[in-house]
Amino acid sequence: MPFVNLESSDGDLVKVDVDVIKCSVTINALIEHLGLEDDNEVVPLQNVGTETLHKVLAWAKHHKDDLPSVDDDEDDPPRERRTDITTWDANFIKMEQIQLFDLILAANYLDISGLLDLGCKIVADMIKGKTADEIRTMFNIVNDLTPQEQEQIRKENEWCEEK
Amino acid sequence: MSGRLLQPPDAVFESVLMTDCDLNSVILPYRERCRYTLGEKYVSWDTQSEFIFVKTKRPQWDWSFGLEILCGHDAYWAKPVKGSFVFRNGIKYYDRVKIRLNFGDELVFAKHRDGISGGLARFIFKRREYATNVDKSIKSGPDSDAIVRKNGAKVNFSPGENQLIFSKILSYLPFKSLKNARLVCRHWDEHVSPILRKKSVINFYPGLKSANPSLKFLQYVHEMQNWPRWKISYPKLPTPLNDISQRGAKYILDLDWFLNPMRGHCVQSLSLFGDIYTNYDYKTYLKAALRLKDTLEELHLEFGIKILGYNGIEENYSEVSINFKKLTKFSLALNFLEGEPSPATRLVAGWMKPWADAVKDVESISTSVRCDTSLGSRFIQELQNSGANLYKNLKEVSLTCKPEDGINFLTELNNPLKKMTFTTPLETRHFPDFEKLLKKFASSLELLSFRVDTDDLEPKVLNLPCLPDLKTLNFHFEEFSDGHFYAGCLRFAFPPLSGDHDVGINYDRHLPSIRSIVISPEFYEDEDATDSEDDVNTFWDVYSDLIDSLLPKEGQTCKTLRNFELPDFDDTDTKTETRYRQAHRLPEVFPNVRNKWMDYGRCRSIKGFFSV
Repeated sequence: MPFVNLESSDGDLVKVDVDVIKCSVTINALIEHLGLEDDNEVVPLQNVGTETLHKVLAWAKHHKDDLPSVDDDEDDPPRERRTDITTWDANFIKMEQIQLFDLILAANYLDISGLLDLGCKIVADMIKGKTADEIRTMFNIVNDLTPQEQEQIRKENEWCEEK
Repeated sequence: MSGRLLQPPDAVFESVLMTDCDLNSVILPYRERCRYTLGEKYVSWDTQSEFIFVKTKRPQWDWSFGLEILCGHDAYWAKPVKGSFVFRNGIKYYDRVKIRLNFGDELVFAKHRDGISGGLARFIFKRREYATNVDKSIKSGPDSDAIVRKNGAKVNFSPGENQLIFSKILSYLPFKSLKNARLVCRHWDEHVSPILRKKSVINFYPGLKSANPSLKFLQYVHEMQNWPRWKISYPKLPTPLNDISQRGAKYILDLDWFLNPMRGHCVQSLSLFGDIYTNYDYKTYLKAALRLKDTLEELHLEFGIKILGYNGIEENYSEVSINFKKLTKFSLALNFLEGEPSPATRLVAGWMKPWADAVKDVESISTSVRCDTSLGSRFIQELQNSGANLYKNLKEVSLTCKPEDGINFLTELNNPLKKMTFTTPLETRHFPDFEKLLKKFASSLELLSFRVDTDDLEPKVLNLPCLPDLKTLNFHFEEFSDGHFYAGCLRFAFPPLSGDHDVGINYDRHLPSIRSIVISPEFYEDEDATDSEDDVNTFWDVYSDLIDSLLPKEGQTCKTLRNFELPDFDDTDTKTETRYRQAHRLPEVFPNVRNKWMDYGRCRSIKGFFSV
């Protein structure tokens, strides 16, 4: 079965090469679970909209020849933890914040570790170097910490050194 | 009610420039009915309560310094000690008056010399301030700016909503950003705080000139609750006979108070630092390890220690017996203070035996790179004397000692080692026994790290066995003392296939799990040296053989390797060339290694990228 039809939550059908979408653990499992053998059969994706699905497929197409990723070990030295983002990925991920979050949620639902890592690295980059106030503004978060709680956290922060 | 909830913020008492005292500043946490006494000599807690040493740096000045600062009725109050006076914002107050302090007040004392007034000692009483943004890092790269919020629209998504995604995002945040993230909201704090606890250490470092190192104990008790990792650096304490101002006595009292079991500390990781001149120091410094022994999982001891007395006879330290309940990791770094015995001297060091016994159940033992080699050797000998077979849980060793002592101990060890590190350079004479060790632990080793001596001009071959689980191979040349490379060639050889004589590497067979190979030290060109170019070429003439021995036959690859560091490549600055003759093969042989220079070479996909 070289192709599979993916149905987005908007009800749109997108035909895709199975080889392209093999990076999704969820879709692989659905194909197996539903016993799909024929190119015309449909895999429903209730949590992914059409626009997001197209972005996922664009990413998957570009990365279809990538070698399987190896999980980082916690005790790997820092130089081995890969935080680099390729130029293609950096250009691909240029999008509005709401689209980025939809993409991260889709990557999580479809269990595509490479895309999920990319999205999370980008959000981490957005947080880096920002004050708590700036982070709250960026993500529309209400500060429910009392002044005493904030002071206690600041005291603890003064104590903490990186080990 | 709000008065109780919103108690006054903490204060800071800070000396002004030119005051010439040894106190820069001290935090005075607000605690109802607490009394701080600032002065030159400690007497007792009963008379002075929380005591803070303030002393002039110039002994000819007579300060007769003394001030009490009291907390009460939601305010701070100051009172000169009996017989002295203080100026608060220019107005003189005697010891009968209790003055209400406001943040920003200036407190001034007269300095005297031979009984004659000679200048002023000035201090500021101010509010304790906190950094609003502890992360000053520049946002990394263009990616963060590429994400835009359309017309400032509110986004109904918070990274904190999905726990899995949130954890992943947090895992990419640097330490300082995590501190900021705690202050976002309760939900973020709940998630970030455990990560920060895991990644951070509480450092009781007295500072080089601090006269008040034990104040940190008091501050910790009132500000922190059970953070699991501590580092305690002990100050140099005066001997009881020389302790005129009672600094040493106060430190010991405060340490005992701090380590009292009723505080309920639950410390899992402890590092102790200090200089041991006497048995009194030794017993004092080990108190923390003794008091926390039931919860400790990791212990690091890093001491300068006086081994020889003034008469040249070895000092005798107490043989303190310790029984750890949960300890899994032990590391030791000892260095000589005041004189080193001659190499021929055999140290008795009876105090090491209880330590060798105390760590017999641990999984990891290290004599750290900061440990003196002969003291490290003495400890490893003690482990061997205790019986290597007693260390039945040992899985990781990192040894700074004479290589023969490390090899002897490990030869008698019967456990499957996972990590083995030799930080002292191996000489050619060690190779046969070292190779036997490698064979012995071949089936279990996941990390192998060692150094090789470079004095020997003879070409060397080190035979490595098949290492099926090895993930990390670190190979380090000994430092080059004069900046030139006289070292002999070294190659790795691997077991040939049956019926074959080829000792070259086949990754699938010899290192099927390898993920990282690091060859160091990095090579830095000296731009000022006229013969720098020659040095580089000589370096690669000598060491190309080693890298060659890590390259498989044409057509073979190693897909598991993700990190490959060579001495001449700089991963951060993308050097576009190396003198290594087979550099053009590297991207093809190691397709899963991602670093800037390898990716660049891969994109170009031409041999000309790496100059030959």
